[in-house]
Amino acid sequence: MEDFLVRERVRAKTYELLAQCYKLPLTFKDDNTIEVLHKLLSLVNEEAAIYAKEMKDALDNYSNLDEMKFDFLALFVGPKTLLAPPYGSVYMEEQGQIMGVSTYDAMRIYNEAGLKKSEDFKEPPDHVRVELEFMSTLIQQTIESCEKSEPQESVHKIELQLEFLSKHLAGWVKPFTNNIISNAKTTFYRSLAKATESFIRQEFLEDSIAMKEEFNELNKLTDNIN
Amino acid sequence: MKLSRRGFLKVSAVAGITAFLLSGCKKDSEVLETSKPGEIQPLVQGEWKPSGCLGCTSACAKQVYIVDGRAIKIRANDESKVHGGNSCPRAHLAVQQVYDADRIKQPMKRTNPKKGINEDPGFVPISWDEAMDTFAEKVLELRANDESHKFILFRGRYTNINDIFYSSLPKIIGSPNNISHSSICAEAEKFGPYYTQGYWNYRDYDVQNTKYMICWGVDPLCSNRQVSHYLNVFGDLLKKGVKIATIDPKYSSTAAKSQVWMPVIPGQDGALATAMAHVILAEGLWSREFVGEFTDGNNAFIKGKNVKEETFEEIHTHGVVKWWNLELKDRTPEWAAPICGIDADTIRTVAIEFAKAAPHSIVFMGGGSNMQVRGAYNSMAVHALNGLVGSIDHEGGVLQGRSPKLLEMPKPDEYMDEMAKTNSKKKKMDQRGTKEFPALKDGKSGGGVVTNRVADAILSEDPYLPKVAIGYFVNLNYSCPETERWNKALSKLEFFAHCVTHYSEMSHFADLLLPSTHHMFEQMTSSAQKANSYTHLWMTQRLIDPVFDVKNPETEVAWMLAEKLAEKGFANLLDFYKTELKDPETGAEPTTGLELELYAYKYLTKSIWDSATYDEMKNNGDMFNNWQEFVDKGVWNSSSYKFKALWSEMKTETKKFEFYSETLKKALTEHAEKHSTNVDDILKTCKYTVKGELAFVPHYEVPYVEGKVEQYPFAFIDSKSRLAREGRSANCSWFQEFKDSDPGDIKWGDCIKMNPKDASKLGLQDGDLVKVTSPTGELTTTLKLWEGVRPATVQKNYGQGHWAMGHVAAADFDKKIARGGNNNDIIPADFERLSGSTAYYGSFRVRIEKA
Repeated sequence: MEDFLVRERVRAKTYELLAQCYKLPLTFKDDNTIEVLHKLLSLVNEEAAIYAKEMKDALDNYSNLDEMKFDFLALFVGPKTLLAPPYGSVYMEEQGQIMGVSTYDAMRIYNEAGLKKSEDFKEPPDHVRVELEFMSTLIQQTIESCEKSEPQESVHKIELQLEFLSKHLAGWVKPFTNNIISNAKTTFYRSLAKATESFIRQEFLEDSIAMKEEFNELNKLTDNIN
Repeated sequence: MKLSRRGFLKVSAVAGITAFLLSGCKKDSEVLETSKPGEIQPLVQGEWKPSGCLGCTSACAKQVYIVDGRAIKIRANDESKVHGGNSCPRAHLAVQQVYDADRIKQPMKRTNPKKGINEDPGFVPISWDEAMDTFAEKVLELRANDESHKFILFRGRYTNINDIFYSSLPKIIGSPNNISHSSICAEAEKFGPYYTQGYWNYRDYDVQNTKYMICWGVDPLCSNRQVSHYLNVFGDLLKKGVKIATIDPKYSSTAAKSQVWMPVIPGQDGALATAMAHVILAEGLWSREFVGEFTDGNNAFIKGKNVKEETFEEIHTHGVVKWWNLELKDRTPEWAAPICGIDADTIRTVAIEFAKAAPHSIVFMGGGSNMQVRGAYNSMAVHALNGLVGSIDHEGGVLQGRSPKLLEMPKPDEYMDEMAKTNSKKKKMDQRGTKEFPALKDGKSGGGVVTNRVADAILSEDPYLPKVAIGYFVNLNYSCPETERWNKALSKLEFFAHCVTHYSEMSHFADLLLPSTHHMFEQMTSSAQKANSYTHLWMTQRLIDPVFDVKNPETEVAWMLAEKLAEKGFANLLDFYKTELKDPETGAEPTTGLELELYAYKYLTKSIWDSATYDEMKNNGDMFNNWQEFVDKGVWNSSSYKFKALWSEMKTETKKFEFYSETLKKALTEHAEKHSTNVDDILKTCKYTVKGELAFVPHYEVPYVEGKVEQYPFAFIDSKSRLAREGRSANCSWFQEFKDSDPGDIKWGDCIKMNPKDASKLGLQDGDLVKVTSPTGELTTTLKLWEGVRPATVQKNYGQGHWAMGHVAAADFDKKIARGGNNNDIIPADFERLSGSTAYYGSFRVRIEKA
C-alpha cells in the first residue's frame, strides 16, 4: 500500500503543479514549480517530461516574463477573444458558451467530493485550473482515505477520479491544448500545452485505470489477510 | 495485472524527490473550497424569476428560468399588462451575452500610453482596488487644478436609478458633463409631439381599439417599439379587419403584414404628410369634436383658397386655419406625388380612410420620418395628422401612458462644494444651446443633448479639451455616424475608463476596462415602459452570481469611486450616498455598492410598495404591501388609461394641440434672443430654408441631402436589425445564424440591398462584393438584389461591421477586421439641430461599385 500511496502523491502533485502553470502572476522565476514538474513527469511520463524540459529551458532563456505574460493574457484572459479559452464548456457544448450543462456537471462532481469553486476565484467552475486542482485534491482525498483505512471512501474517490477524467478533463484537453499550440507565441506555453495533453492522455488511457486495478488488487490482499 | 505502465514509477526512483514534495501536506487550494453535501443536485426543475430586458427601449418585463444558479432561458413575464405573455425574439440572445467567453473578465489597465486604432493597448489585469485608486487619482488631479469640469460621464443604456451615477456623480465632482446617448436614439421623433401637444417622449397607441393604423418610419414587428406586444397583436388586428398602411422606403417586416405599403422617397415624408393633411381638411374629414367647425357649418378648406380665421371655431386645438393658409392649401396629393414617390390616388385614399376611421385611428410615428437634417417639421406634420382627426388621447388612438409616480432620486446640491457649484455651470461638451445647436428639448434652448457633437467638440477643443472620462454601456465610435472622428477624439482623451461587458470599439481607446454586470441577470435593474394602453415597471433581482469579476457601474463602481475619493480626502460623494440613500425600511446607511444598489431601488419605488407613500403621492395602478411582495412579482402595472384627460390640458403654451405652435415660437424666439438674433437666422443656421410665420407650423422642407445625385445616385436607407440588442448582440451566434430574419439579409454576413433593375443597369449581380461610397466614407459589403427597395435607393441594416466585440462579431477580432460594414462608417455626421438628434435617415446618398 505504501508504494501505491507514493505513486498517488506523485499524481496529486503533478496535477497541482500543472494547475499552477495556468495562473497569473507568473512566479516561475522565483519558485521551483517547473523544475519539480519536470522531475515528477520524468518519473511517470517520458513524453511529457521532454515538454517540461522545454518549458524549463524556455524559462531559463527569458530575462523577464513580460512576453510570457502577454502570451498568457491573449490565450486565456483577454480582453480580446481568448485564443485558447480555458473553459470546458466551450469545447464540450455545441454553442461554445460558458456555464453550460457540462459546467454544471463539473460542479456536481466537485460537490460529491465536498468541494466547490472558491468564491474568490472569479471564473467559471470548469476553468482548467479548477479542474486540474480538483483532480489533485481528489487524489489527495483518496490518499487520506487509504491512510485512514476507509476502503469504501477510497473506492468512491477513485470512481470520481475516473468519472471526472472521462467526462471532463480528458474530454476537452485535446482541442484546448491544440488551440494553445496553434496560437501561443512562446515556447513555454506551447510546451505546457503538449505536456498537459500528454499527461492527461496517459492518465485517462492508462494510469488512472492501472491505479484503480492496483487499488483493487491491494484491497483484495488486505481483505484476504483480514 | 496491468501494472506495467504504472510500474514505471519505481518507488526507489522517488528517493530523488524531497520528502517535502511528496509529504502529502498539500498547500491549501487556491481555486476550490469546501461545499456542503448535496449542495448541488442532479439537474432538477428550476424556477422562473422576474427580470426585464434592456435590449432596446421597449423595456419588456421578462422571466428567466434559473436552474441551480444558472440562467437557462427567457420568456415574457405574463403579469405585465403591456405585453402579457408575449416576447420578442431578441430577448433570448441575452443568455448568449451573459455566458460569452469573450466577456471582459476582470479590471484591466492600458500599458501602452499611445492611443490610436492601430495601437495595441497592452491591457493587463489589475485589481478593482488598483483600478479605482487610479481613477480617483485622476479625478482629484482635475480638482486640484480647478479643472473638474473637464470630467465627462457618457451614458448608454441605463436603468431607473441612473441618477445616482449619471447625474449626481459629475455634479458632486464639479462637472456639467453628463452626456447621454438619447440624441442618437430618438429626440427628433419627440420634437413633433412636444411642439404640438407638449409631450417630449415616445407615445403609446391603443391598437386593441383602433380601426386604422399607419406605421410611419417605424417597424414595430422588427425593432423598437414594443415589439413583444405588436408581434402578438398584429394577427388580431388583421383578423378583425383593421387596415394597416406602412410608410417606409424599404419593404419592412411591418410592411409585409400591411394592406398598403407606401415606399416614400427617403426624406420626402413632409410632402406626403402635408398632402394627407390637405386631403383631410379639403374633404371635410377633420374631427369636429376635437378640432372644431366652421361657424356656418360649410367647409371653406378649398384647394388654393385662404380661410378667414374668425370663420372657424376651434375647440381643443390651436391654429388649424393658420396652418391651412400658411402651408396646406396648395399641398395637394398631385403636388406631393412626384416629390414623395407615392401616387396621388394612394395618398388620397389612405388619408380619407384613415380620417373616416377616426377617432379610432393612429399614425404611429418612428424616427424614420424625422431623424433627418430637416426632420423637425416632418415630425410635427406626421404627428399632427393625429390631431386633425382627434385621435389624440382618444380610445383607439394616440396616448401618453400612465407612468408610476416614483420618488425623485435625492439631489446632490448640498454635497457640491464651491468648485463643484462653479464648474458644473460651465459649458457642456456637446455644444447644446449654442446658436447652431438649439436642442430645444422641453422648450428650452440647450435642453437636450447633442451626443454626436462631442467628438467634434473634443477635436476642436471647443468649449475646452476634457481630460478624464468614464463611459458605461456606450460605444460611440461604433454607434455614431462618422466613427473615425470618435476614434481620433477618444485618442485625445488623457484618461478614459470604459464600463462594459465586452471589449467593444470604444474599449480600444480606454485606459481602464471596468467589466460590467449584465443588466438582466447579474445586477438589480428596473425600467418602465408603455404599450397596450398600460404602463409597467419591472424590477430584477440579482438572479445569478456574476460569472466573472464584474460590477454594476451605476452602483458598485460609483460606490468604490466614492470610497476611494473619501480615502484621499474628498468625501462628498460618499457622504451623499450614505446620507441620502439609506434603506427606506430600516434606515441603515449603505456600507457597500451592493447595499447602495438595493437601497436606491427600494427608495425609488417606495411609492409602489409602501401604502402610506402610495397614498401620499396619489399613485395609480398596483399597490404592493411591502418590498418583498413587489420584487417577487417583479412587475407593477398602471391603472387603465383615462381617455381625453389631456384635451385642452396639454403642456403647450395654449394648453391646446397646436397646429400653429406657440410653444415652438416661444422656444425659438428665446433661443434667438439668447444669441441676439432672429428666428429666421437661427433656422438658416440650423440648415432650414423656412422664414417667417411658416416656421411655427408643420411644413414641407426640401430634404437636406449630402451628396449630389450625379456622383452618388442612390439614396441610402439605414434600418435596424431584428436581433440587434442596440448594437451589442453581434457576438451571439444566434444573431448571426438568424440574421436572415431581417427580410433580404444573409446569415453570418452583411449585405446592402438594391433593386434588381438598378443592378442590371450597373451590371452588378446578386452576391457581388461591392464598395459603398458616401461623401464621408466607404465600406465593403455583399450586394443583394431585392425588390423590397424602390429604384434609386439602397438599404442596409445597422448591426454588423464590428471590428471588436468578440470573435463572432468581428471577422478577425485580433486583427480588427470587421464582419461586413458598419453603416456609421458612411453616414455623414449631421444633425436635426432643433432637437439635437443625429440624422440617420433620408440625409445622404451613396454610389455602389464592384469591389
